[in-house]
Amino acid sequence: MIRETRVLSARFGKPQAWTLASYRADGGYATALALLKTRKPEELVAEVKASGLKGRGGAGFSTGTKWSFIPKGTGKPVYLCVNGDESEPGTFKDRQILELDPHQLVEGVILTCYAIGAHTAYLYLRCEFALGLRRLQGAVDEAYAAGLLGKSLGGTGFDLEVTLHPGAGAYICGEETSLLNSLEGLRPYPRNKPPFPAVEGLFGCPTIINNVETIANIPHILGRGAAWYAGLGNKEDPGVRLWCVSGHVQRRGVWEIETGFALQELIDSPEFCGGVRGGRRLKAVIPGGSSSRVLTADEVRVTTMDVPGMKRVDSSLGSAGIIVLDETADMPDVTLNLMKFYAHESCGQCTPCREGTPWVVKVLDRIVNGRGRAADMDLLLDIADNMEGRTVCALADGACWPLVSIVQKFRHEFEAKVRAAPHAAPAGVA
Amino acid sequence: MFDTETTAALERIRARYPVPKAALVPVLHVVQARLGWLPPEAREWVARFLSITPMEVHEVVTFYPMLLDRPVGRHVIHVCRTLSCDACGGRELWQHLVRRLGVTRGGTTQDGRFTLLSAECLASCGTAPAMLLDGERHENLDAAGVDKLLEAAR
Amino acid sequence: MINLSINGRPVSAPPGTTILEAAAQLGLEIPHYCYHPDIGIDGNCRMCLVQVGQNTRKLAISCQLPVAEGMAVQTESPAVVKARKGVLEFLLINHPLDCTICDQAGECPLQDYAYRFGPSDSRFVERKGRKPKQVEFSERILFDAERCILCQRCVKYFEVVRGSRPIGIESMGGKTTVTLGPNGPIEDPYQMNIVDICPVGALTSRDFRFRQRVWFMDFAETVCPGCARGCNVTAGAYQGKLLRFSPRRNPEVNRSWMCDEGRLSYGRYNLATRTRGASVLGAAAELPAALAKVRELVGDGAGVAVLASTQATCEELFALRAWAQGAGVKALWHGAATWAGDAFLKLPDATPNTAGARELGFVPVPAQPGAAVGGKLRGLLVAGEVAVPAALLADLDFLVLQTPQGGQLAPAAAVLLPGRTPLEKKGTWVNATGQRQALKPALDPGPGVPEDWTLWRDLAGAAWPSLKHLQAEMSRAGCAPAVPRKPSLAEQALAQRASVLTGQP
Repeated sequence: MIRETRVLSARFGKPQAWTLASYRADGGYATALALLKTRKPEELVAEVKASGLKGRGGAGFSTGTKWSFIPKGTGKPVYLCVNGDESEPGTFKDRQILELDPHQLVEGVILTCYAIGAHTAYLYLRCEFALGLRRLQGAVDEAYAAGLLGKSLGGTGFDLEVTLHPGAGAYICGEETSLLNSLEGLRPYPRNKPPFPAVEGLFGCPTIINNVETIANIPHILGRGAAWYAGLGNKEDPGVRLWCVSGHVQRRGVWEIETGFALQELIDSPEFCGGVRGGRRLKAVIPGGSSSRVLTADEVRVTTMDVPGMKRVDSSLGSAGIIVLDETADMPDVTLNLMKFYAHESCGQCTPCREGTPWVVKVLDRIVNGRGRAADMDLLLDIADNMEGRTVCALADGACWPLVSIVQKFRHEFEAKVRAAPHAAPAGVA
Repeated sequence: MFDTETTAALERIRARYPVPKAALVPVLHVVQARLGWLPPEAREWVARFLSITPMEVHEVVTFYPMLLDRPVGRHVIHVCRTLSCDACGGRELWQHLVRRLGVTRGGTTQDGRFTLLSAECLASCGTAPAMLLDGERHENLDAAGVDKLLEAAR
Repeated sequence: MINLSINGRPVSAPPGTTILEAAAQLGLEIPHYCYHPDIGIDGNCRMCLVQVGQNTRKLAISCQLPVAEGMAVQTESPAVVKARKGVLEFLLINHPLDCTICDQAGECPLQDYAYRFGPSDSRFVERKGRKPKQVEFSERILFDAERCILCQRCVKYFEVVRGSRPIGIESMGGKTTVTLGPNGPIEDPYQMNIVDICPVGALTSRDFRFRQRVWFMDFAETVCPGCARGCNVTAGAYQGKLLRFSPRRNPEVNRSWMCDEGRLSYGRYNLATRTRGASVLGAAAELPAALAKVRELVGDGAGVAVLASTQATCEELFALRAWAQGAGVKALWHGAATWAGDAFLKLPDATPNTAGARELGFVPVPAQPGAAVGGKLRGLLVAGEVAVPAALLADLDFLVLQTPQGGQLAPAAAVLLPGRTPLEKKGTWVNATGQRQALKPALDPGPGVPEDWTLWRDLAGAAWPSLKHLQAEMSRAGCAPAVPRKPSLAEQALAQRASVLTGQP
């Protein structure tokens, strides 16, 4: 039976939950103040590693392992950047934390900075999150006023400066090295790796970039112990996550559920999504934010939401942005909508993405608008083959996963459009 | 170029970074909030304020969709066009606004009141369709709801 | 040293060497656009992708990835060949069909790589993106945004090499363009180097625009005569007229750069009129007769001085000195010309071979020229194009002038001998930092203008039948002539336009 396990969302909806008073009343900051006084940073890193926590931004890399990449003794300051640039289509979970329980994030920032030896943290938020910015800034201001940030926070002897930093409307800034360049005031092109940010990141210094949800987990994991967290959900991919569901369901929303539940159950359960809207038939689900391979209705029936489950259906959990599409969805049109997203958001730095994503849009536009040709589907697949794995960052990969999977699994819809086209586009005519 | 309160706020922002250039986007947001957009004189002022070249400001301003390098109406609308909104009433919302305001994407109404723009996913997929009006997010919209918002925006 | 293999061939390189550089050491060219050895790495064009190990899903950019012990790199695997073809296809889909009117044609790495690695037909049937064309970046440079492949070399050149930002990048995605932004036209005196480093016809020289197709031109590897830096250049000519100078890469002298003033000075060497054959006292004369007259005038050499141009080659100066020593002429002076130098390449000495002249014992014109020749300056032999100080001309008994163009002094010359411009010379110059550099002639002066060194040989009655013989004697005497610089195997592999190195497009 699918049920919520409310850890991050335990306080969502409580009156004034975003205030310091409310957070403290529920025991907030106790973990940070205790551990900064009693435990060594390395111990915290080890604990987070042992918990099995993976990054919640989309890449799913082991958080504790990432923290351990910070080199010691470089003489350079270490930075923490919190990635609040949530822009993956279908994803709307980080904003909940920012708006409804931001102190949880601040406590996570304190613990993380202590663990990695950072005394400066930048919280990078989308500028479109006006409410989230206000609530998080409010929380940071309250924390400073209460001596929980700044010099020797909480009397622990640990100094920490925290600054909110706004984005300006670019999805690419969610890519960690693009975020760094954005923070430095440069055009936010992603960087080629190596070097990796842990070694050479913000201002050339060792830097950890973690997603909002990832950091929000830290007070809970360090407060209740790695073993507790590792015992939640699926053994190989433990923990609890905020899952977003949007699209053609009766009830859309964010739910906090341990890994390993059945996707079909989430969609059908009356306590959760309540089934496909209007009792229609399910056609497809994009499980991990738009940058994941689409699942057919048959595949959804056997999908469990954890890393091994995703491997079995050759898709990914990504940013846990589940988009449900019913029989009224026109898959070529859906693909065009998504590919326009990637083409609009391509930073333009490297050849395959800059040229390939708009090309894909042009081809799909012809197909959708009755000027498709029989060769177009294979053309789309080959363009994708020349983009995937050939670029500076994974934006192009993110475009290719839905593009290829939808063309492959719903090819009949594309072919129908091509067959119905009044006349094939002659060469040279848009 | 700005009153003392604004300048003081900008100086506080600049002081949060080891390198002044890092304050560029936060500073531009404050300036844009004051002026409605980012005219050339403002960009030059920002360049001097951060000890960088006007070119560096130009390169950044022209990159980001939310930084406005041309004049806009008194109120700026950003309607989300991405899948979860598009599939749940967003397309109809857009068409309604185009009809009601009588402009195409990027256009400003004759009376200078509204500029209509598209945005990509606003992280309101579960409360679609959504849009920003002057930077504030409004969700679960329909034609009636958006009409009310527009009426209230003088 | 790190040991790895590239296409099965073993190679060793110091840590920090990139795969691209290591391959170049083997003479293996990995095609690339955005990397430039004198600007640095950017990693945006994706042309240099290679396969490391068995991973075909993610290929690596060889311009950036440092070599690692035991690495097995493939540059021609099926995945790499396809990826490379894919990158070229992406570059071509929005590229305008300008080849027929584009100055870059014939020396264009986009053409060349498309020919070698690209698709043979187009799968793009939609409208190409439109961007600004014929944008005036300055009075010297035009920019075409449609042709631009956004390698960013031009922007980085100014930032990294010149420390300035006259151009930048605006917008994002498919709308990205290089731009002047809020700046006025580019004013940098080294701006035209971006025309050379641009891999396509996006940045073109307005001076060279529409003048000639490079495959009809003749190119010579030589040295700029403009100043004592001795920037290596390729001189391009068509039907006996110079059409342009471009810098030739030399890491020790000028890297890949030259100044605009030097670059645009080529016109100076297209002479409309010139001295052909010799004349004595205003009347045309056969060369042997003219030289005999010179010997007669010089007599025992007392009171006679030689004033040599520092455009003259070491070979000419060696032969001239040989004659002077035999003729009893002890005063060997060299001329001078100056211009405003800068902190980059231009040196205040606006002549190319002052160091070579000094090496051979020529000295600056003394303050007391008369005293220097034992009382009174009776006669002056001016060899080459040089500004003659008025003090030397006062009260002269005779003047011998050897020059490409007679000029104002010609009527006063007892003997007028023909001379070649620096672009017609073969020989050696020594630059201000002591590098000996070889010249190759780009132009043939036509009849009546023998090689300058032969005049002094004949004047002296010396025996060198060819320049090689003269050069052999110079070597024996300890002033070795220069041999043309041969770019290393690695440099050749990295150069995209051969004209950058070898004078051929």
